[in-house]
Amino acid sequence: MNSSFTKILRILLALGLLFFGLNKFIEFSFMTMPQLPENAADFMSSLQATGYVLPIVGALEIIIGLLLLFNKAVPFALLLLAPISVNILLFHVFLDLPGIGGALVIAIINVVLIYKHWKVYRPLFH
Amino acid sequence: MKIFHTILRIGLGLMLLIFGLNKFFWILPDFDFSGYPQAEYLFNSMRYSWSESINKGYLMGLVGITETVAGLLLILKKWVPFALLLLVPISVNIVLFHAFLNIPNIGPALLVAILNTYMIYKNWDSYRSIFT
Repeated sequence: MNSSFTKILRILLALGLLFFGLNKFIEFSFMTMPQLPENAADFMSSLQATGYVLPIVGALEIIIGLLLLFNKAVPFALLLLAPISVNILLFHVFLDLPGIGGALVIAIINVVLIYKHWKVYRPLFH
Repeated sequence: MKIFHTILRIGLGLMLLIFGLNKFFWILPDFDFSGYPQAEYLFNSMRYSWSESINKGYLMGLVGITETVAGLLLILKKWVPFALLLLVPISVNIVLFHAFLNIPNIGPALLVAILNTYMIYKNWDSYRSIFT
C-alpha cells in the first residue's frame, strides 16, 4: 500500500460522495432510482417526511467529499463519514440487499483509509 | 472538580445504559407522540419488529447497542474519548429529531447533548491529533 494507491482511493471516495450528495439536491436525469422493496420504501419515505434528514446527509456527503478531494483535514472527514457509512451499509443489509454495491464500496474505502491513518486515531483509545 | 467530572461521566453513562437497554427490554414508559404524526411515523419505522412483516427498520437496535456500549465504556472509564465520539451522531440526531418533529420532549435530548459536548471539551487533548 503506497501513497498513490491511497490517493486514488481518496479521490474515488470523494467523487462518489460528491455524486451521491449532490444527487439528494439536484435530481440527475440519468440517475433513475430502482424500485425499492416495500420496507425500504417505507423507511425512505419516513426519512423524507422528516424534512431534515436527507438534506443534512446530502450536505455532509458534499462537505466530506470536498475535504477529501482537496486533501484537507482527511482524518476528520473520514471520522465524519463513519456514521454515514455504517448506516448506508446497514440500510442495504436489512432493507434492500440488491442495492448494496455502492454502499459496500464507500464503506470499504472508508475503512481502508481510516486504517491507513490509524496513528492519529490512537489517542482516542488511551 | 475531579469529583464533579466523575459524577458527570458516570451520570451520562448510566443514562445511556438505561435508555440503551430500554430499546431492547422496554422498561421505561413509551413516549407520547400524539399530535406529531411525522415523529410517530419515523419512530415506528426505525424499530425492528420480530413479529410484524412491516417496520423492519434496524435503527432503534443500532442506537440501543451503541448507547449501551458507550454507557458501559463511560461507567468503566475505558476508552472515554472514543465512547464520547460514538455518542456524537446519536446526540446530534436526537436533538434534531426533537427540534424538528417533537419539541415537547426535547429536554432529555438537550441534556445528553450538552453533557456530551462538555465532556468532549474536557477531553479535547485526545482529539487534537485528528486535526494535525
